[in-house]
Amino acid sequence: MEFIIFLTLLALGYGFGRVIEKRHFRYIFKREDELKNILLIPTKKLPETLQSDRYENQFVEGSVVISVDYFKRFLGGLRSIVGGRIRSYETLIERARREAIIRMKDQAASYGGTVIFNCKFETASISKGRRNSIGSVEVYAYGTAIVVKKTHEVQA
Amino acid sequence: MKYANPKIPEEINYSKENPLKEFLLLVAGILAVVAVFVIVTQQLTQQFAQHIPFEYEAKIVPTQFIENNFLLSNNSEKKDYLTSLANKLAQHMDLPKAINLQVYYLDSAEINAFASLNGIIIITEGLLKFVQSENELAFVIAHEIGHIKERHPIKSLSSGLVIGATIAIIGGSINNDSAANALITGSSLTALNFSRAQESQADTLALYAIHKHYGHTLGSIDFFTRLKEQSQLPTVLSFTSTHPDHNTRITDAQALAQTLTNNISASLTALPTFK
Repeated sequence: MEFIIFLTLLALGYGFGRVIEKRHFRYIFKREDELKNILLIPTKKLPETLQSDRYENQFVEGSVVISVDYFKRFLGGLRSIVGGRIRSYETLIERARREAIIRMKDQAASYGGTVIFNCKFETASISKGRRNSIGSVEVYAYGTAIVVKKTHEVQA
Repeated sequence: MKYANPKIPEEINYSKENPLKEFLLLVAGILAVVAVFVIVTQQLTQQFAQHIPFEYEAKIVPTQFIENNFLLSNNSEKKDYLTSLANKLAQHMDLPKAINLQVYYLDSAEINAFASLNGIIIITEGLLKFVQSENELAFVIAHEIGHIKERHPIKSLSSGLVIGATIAIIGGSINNDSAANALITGSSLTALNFSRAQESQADTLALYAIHKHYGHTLGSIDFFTRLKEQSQLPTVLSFTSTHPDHNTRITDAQALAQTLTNNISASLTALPTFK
């Protein structure tokens, strides 16, 4: 009986996990294309060409939490016995990272920013260490967006 | 200097390969390793286990344990009959001297019989009602005596403990409950498969004993065939539950029964009438 429950969970995890992952990747490709005009610059210092009184800086961030499914988790567990690339987690983290960037860029776009510099990432895993619980990962991306000053507003 | 964020090339950071492929490969590989481990360990522990003195079994399962934990019938007439039948059969089975058979009659409607440590054989009321001749009953009892003669209970217990402990240690060190569970399931499936060999061994010993006792083996296999017809497959322990491959077992036993019996005019022995 326990084995049937386990197989069902595995099948559900695989089925839903695949559908959700495919859909998410499609969404990521589309959004990345839409936001491709916002440049990400990982350097700490602002490029000289952008150092001008015309611009002001703005903190932008994007965060996403994605849960691992039962199938991925099980596959990861098997991998942990023999070692090697945990492919099932790679797609998960990839999605989380790119989604976080998309959300950060969205925020920058809402301010009218076109460049984000000093980009950084943080990750956190939720319910870490608790056995038998489905784990999830948070990816947090943040940076400094360069926004064109609205001069008349400054005077007001 | 031109700076750009090109489109991220896909499938470098991750693989689009169907994870099922990896899954099947890993499961098959790990199960194969577990199966080899279980078979080797089982063979080794069983080799050692047969040298455990029989007296030790009395310490593991004392008579009191059976009396306290099972709903034993106080019908002494049936118990005495079963005991004397078992003793008669045992005379033909060359039991080691240290082994002391103890037959118990259990108040249960379930059709079952099982052998345990300390020479304990338990026959249920359901079984006694189900059999139609003494020959059928004798076969079941002789089968259980066969298990005891071959020290199957202590062998199963020993290898079960060793494998269980090892798997638990490995499983516990895997920081993933479901993977650990899969490991345990895999090992118990292998162990179960292995115990079929013991069942066949007990069948063979039983048929030889029956042949010596009655001079023929008529009726012995009837128990199997009727049980199968009624599809009464009890869920508890020894006699039927560990035998998924019922059909081959019947055929094997039938073949042996036929080579043993040449006295076609032999007749079945009736069960005594109980008060």
